Amino acid sequence: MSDLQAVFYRYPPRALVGDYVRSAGGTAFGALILLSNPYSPWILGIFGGLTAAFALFGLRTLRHHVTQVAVTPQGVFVKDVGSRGLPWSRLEEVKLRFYGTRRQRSGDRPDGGGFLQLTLRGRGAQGERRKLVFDSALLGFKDVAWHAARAARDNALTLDPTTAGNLLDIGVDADSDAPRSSQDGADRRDPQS
Amino acid sequence: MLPYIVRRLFVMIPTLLVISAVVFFIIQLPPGDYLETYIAELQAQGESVDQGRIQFLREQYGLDRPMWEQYLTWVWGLLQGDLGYSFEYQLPVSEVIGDRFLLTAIIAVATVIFTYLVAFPIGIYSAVRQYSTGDYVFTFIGYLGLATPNFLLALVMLYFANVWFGTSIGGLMDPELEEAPWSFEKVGSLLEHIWIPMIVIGTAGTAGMIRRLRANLLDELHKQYVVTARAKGLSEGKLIFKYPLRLALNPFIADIGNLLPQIISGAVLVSVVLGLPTNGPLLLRALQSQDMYLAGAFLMFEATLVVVGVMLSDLALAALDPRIRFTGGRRR
Repeated sequence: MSDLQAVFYRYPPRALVGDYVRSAGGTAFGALILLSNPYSPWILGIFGGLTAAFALFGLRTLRHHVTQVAVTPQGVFVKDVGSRGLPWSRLEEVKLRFYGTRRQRSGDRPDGGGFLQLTLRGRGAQGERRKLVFDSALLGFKDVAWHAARAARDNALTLDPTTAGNLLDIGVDADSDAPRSSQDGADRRDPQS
Repeated sequence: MLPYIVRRLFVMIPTLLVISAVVFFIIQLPPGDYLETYIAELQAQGESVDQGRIQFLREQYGLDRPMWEQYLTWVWGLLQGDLGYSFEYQLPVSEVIGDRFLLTAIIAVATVIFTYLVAFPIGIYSAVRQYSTGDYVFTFIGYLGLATPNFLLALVMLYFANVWFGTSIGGLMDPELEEAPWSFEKVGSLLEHIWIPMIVIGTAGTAGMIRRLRANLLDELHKQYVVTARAKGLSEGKLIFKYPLRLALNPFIADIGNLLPQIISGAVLVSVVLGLPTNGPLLLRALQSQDMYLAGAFLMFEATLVVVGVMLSDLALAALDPRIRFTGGRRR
């Protein structure tokens, strides 16, 4: 990957604070109940599952904390505990989903709650199957979505109606020449640096 | 989906804790406690009251402790699966509830199945054949169903079942089988009796569902994509079941949150009228006698089911229809 035209994005730590609090609070609560009565199968089933889910969520948040996403005209590259990339030419599926409560869904503001999740599937440089998932907390999420939409158009992929509608709703137009008017927190690296 | 599930679960924890506090303090709001109600009942019957024994019971049940301490003890017990002790029945709450939960759940599930089986075909028919004779007939029956109180319908059915069939249809099984262990005979008796509460409790819900399904489906049927699909030659059955019906069902998925609590509350008035051994009458009695742990356990179950139901319906909606909607903006 060349840094020449790459735009780098991260999950801003401030946006992850809430997730850390949820994970720590949920894990501590579940563990407290588990430890107080470890022999009841009901308690073990309910609060064990709860604790495991919150702990997994914490690990996922930690992964987001160290994640770096690079977007180039050639593909999207993710570096967290390992690194993997997906060339746009090998993109096979794009999904954009919204997750929110009914109240959040019917809110007037697009940022009034809930979150979007962009899932990209395709084949890596060696032909292996790749799946990359991005949350809307990622700085430059719309840029990634724009590149994905553009690649989907170039690769003649059919977008499902939900994805197409959600892309339009967040203002992503694959026919536009640029992803966004502003940089939206992107770290556009100087090739000299 | 994990982040979404975890975020919803995280909201549930403080929600349930706040609900538990509200439930506990509301149950405590009436003046006095269970023992004072008990003393008043004894005095009304002309029996003497041993103050020493009352003081002993007050200490044993923890009623002499501050309210916040009683609350914390109760909540901590709930979190560990201990529902508390019923003052009135002198038994742990879990034992008092016993089979009632199962019977209430059976009635609730049967009612939900009845409601869906009847409402869906009629609702679809009424929408697709709008203003036909059948539509008018079903709409009229729907209005009747909505307007008739369930307990009144229960009384009417009790009367006619007695006059026409000469049978008593109160209860959920023959009286001699009520205390017997579960057997084929007991299940048969249950099936013989269950259709009355199923119809009585389900009628209003069925009528409401028919009205809403008809209205939702009519909204969808008048949209342009339906016209386009017809113009492209899509068969009517495939068109209706694949597109408009799916969208018309969203409000019903969102209603799961309201269905689950019915498993606990179990139509109190109907249960009293029909003499059903469900949770409803027990809850009513517990509230009247200030049997706070029994009432609190019921109310917490109900609240938990509401919260879990709302979460399940949100998850189902997120899985089935993960679109953004702006009511004040471009799309809906």
